Amino acid sequence: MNAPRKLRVLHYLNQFFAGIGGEEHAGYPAEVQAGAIGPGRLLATMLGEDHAIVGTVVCGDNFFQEERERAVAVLHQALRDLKPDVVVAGPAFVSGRYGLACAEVVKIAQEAGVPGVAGMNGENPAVPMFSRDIYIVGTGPSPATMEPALRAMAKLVIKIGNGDEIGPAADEGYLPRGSRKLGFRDQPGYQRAVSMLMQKLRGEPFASEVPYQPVEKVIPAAPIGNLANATIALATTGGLIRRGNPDRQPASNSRSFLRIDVKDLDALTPTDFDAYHAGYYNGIAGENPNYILPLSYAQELKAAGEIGAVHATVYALAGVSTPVAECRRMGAEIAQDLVAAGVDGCLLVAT
Amino acid sequence: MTTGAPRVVKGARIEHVVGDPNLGPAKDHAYGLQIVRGALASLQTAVEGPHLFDPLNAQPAPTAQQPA
Repeated sequence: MNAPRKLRVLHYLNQFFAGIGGEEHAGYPAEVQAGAIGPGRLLATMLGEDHAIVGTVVCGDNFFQEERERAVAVLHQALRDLKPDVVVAGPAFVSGRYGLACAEVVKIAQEAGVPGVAGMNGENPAVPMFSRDIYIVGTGPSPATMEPALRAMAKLVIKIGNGDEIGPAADEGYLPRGSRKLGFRDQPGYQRAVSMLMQKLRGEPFASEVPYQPVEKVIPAAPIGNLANATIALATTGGLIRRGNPDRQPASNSRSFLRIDVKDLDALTPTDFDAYHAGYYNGIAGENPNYILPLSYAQELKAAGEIGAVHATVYALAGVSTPVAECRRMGAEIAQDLVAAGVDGCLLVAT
Repeated sequence: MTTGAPRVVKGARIEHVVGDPNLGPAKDHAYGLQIVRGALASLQTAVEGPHLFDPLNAQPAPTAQQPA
């Protein structure tokens, strides 16, 4: 740990928090103002007399996105002229453009050799994009939580400015960055597990070492009353693709699914379709794609009158290493399609 | 089942879920049809939470009955 020193802090604010105006001033050109302004003044008192906000870069949210080169030039000039030890941006709360600008400002400063901290709510769209690159202090959703936000940011600004070792996210008040550091704990795992269990049994608060996501409770759809009248849709996570993969589907980590029109098809043929999925041997399904999307059987049962109709669109993706959030999103999109089309039931083949 | 999906239907194998090429064409087809019919039967069955349906040990296609 370095000896603490008097830190020179550069702040970044958008047009609103700098007191210029609201959305109508989002094109406000980037400029540097001396000292602290707006919420920077409160931040300055929290940083204490030992540290100073030497300047504030003010920039309209639209100007930063649309005239990025000019905005970045102003930032670089401020870094050269004011020689800050650390940069602090925001807090942006849930404002998307502002959050993006704050994150980029900190990242650019970092690349120029000046460490920094941004502040914004965990739901800000900038978070998944930048949380691995920079320290982002999580804040409440609205400026009503300005004070605790600035307090948390001030703490981290001082540590970062002094080059202190930064501990885990939960301890230091920043959003998890997805990085792991090896370390030793005081007690072996079995003792910690028993202690945690005792706390739980006593009704005392305890902190899980591994975050636990309970299974989502899904309300089952009501059963289909009359199958002979029902329209049935087919879907697969087995990685069905058009042969040759003209749609350039990935074999894993899918972020999108295929919609394939099967209106005039009695079956999936290997000349037109294939299987492309990194999690299992694709040869068998490639020779007969109906193994992973049973179109042939569905059409047969429709011809026999056991079901009313086969939905004209089938849905396909390779369901391996798919982030849960993406699964949820894609599932909801497919469901939306089906509901809009009046589909009664869906068979999804998983591999 | 652990994902919370309410109706889960047992298929053959990962590499060939709806059918089995090792059975030869006729039995493969019969097996695949049995699996799809079993799946359709599950859509006609009321469930309260995750329920595993086995097409090889299924009752005849019900209309909106409770699972055994």
